[in-house]
Amino acid sequence: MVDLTSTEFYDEILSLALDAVIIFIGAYVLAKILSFVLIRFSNQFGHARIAVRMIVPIINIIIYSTAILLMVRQIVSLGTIELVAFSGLFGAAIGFGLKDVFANIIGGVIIAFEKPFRIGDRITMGEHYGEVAEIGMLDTRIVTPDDNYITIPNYKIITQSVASANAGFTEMMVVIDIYIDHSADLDRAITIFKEAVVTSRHVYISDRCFYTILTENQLHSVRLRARAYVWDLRDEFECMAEISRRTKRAFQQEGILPPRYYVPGEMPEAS
Amino acid sequence: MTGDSADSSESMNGAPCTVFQNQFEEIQDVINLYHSHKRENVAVIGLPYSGKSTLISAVHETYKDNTYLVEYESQITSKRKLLDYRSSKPIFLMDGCQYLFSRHIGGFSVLDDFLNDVVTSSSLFITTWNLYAWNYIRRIREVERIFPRTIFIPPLSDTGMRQCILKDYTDAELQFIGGVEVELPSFIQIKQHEVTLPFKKEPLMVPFPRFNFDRLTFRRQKSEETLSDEEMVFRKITRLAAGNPGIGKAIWKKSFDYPTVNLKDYEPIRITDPLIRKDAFILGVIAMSGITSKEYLEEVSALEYDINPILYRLQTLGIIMERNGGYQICPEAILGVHDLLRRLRIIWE
Repeated sequence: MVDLTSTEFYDEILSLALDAVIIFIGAYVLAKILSFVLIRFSNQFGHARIAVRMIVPIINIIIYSTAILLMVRQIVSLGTIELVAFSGLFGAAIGFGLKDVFANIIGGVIIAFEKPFRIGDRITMGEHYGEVAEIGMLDTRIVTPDDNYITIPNYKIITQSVASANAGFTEMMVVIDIYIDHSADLDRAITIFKEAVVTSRHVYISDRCFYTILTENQLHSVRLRARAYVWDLRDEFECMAEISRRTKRAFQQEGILPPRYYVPGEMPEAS
Repeated sequence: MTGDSADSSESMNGAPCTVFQNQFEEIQDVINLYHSHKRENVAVIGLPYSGKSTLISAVHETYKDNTYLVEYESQITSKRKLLDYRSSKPIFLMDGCQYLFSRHIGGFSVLDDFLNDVVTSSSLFITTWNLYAWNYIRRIREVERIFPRTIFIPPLSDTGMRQCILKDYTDAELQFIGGVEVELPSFIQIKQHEVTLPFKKEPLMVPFPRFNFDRLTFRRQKSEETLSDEEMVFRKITRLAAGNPGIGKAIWKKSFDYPTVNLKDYEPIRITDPLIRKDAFILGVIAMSGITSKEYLEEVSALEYDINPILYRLQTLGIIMERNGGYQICPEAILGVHDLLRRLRIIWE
């Protein structure tokens, strides 16, 4: 039985606890400051901001790992036998109680280094779609288009498929559908739609970011589908809405009709 | 049609084109090849105020009998205006081809007609394009296939800049007689920058030092090369203008107060205020077109937003100016605008 006097308690245990608290608070503050600075600073880089922001989770991992090591070193100094015994106990603790926590940490490390998605990416994970706002040690937070803040445990990266709409780039593809009547002037409609896309203030065209217009005959309408790249994924919905609005106005001016419901036997010939 | 005043301000009125000698010779080669039945249409491409009109005017002066010069200065919206270039001469020089399209729905029909004329004609077309307009139009019309020979206007050297600026003065009018005062900005300048803190709504003005490394290299070069005061002035102007003659002239006008040149008070326009997307987009359209009418900008906005507050804001920031009823980028702001539009990817590459 360990016999501690109150002086020894204050000298040993309390100072250790105080050190641990200081290290933890220091690591937390440092991680927060660096994250804040990097995220603010990244906006100066325009389309390269996602690459800068990706440094944040890596820095967090380094800071917290260093803090944990420092704390452990303050508390115990282990020889080989103690290290083996400690590892066994540690493994058992992970196996029984801390399984999910460590799965999340491993998931966080995988996200930080394998980069299946980055801060700022638009991702679909499970039933959730949104912009990655934060990649933490234990979970990833995304903001949905409806401004909901969703926290997803990092271990899900191992168990679920994740779709990233922009894969680390600021530009991303948007798909815009417009429907016209079967009797409408299809060629004119395609020209207008194409010009609405290339004159949009949100669209970006380069060797990698091309645009296409596709048509498909459907039962009651002809679907025109544009695929183009929005210059900044944050403008995804605004880009789609702007192109749709301008196209619709031009269609109205040119007399290109919207689809109407046809009863069997009334279907006109496509122009 | 009259010339594009944005560029033609540097026109040398028939003087030999010595500042763009290499580009001039390249065009001469193309014309010689055309006479030996090999046709390669030319696109001369450059930033606003870079001197495209100077080059095309020089070509016209040299080949007056064989060339027909058309200069566009505003958006061409009907084919009737486009047809003005029809002539029996075998070589067409077309300055300001960025005016042949408008960036809105229905704004490409004139360009399409023109491109169709070019590919079906046996004439040689030597055209000039604003760099931004060229990059835009080549992405949506593949114009580089119709104009396979592209000639980019390079930045001017110190000598070229000197020649370009001093051509407006006679020898008797302006003399560099030593002791010309070239005041350069200090090595360290304290500038106030806005800093927004997360817990404070109002931005703080924090003083930041800014280092002017140009001053050090400039002084070193002066001592090493023993440049004359005149050479020093033009070297500095060339550097501040990044070799753009239009910007160089604007700097000269602002700095020259007879009989001294004071570069100390010259402040290049920096766009520190972040522009919102639609402001930047309209700025990009003005940069792409050259001189742009308000009606055209209203068509570009397509009822999506009001153009007046945007123009007011851009004018207040000193980025654009109104001249002859049209809007154009201030020459001193070109470099800042270029950086901004590239960063926001309003202009394509």
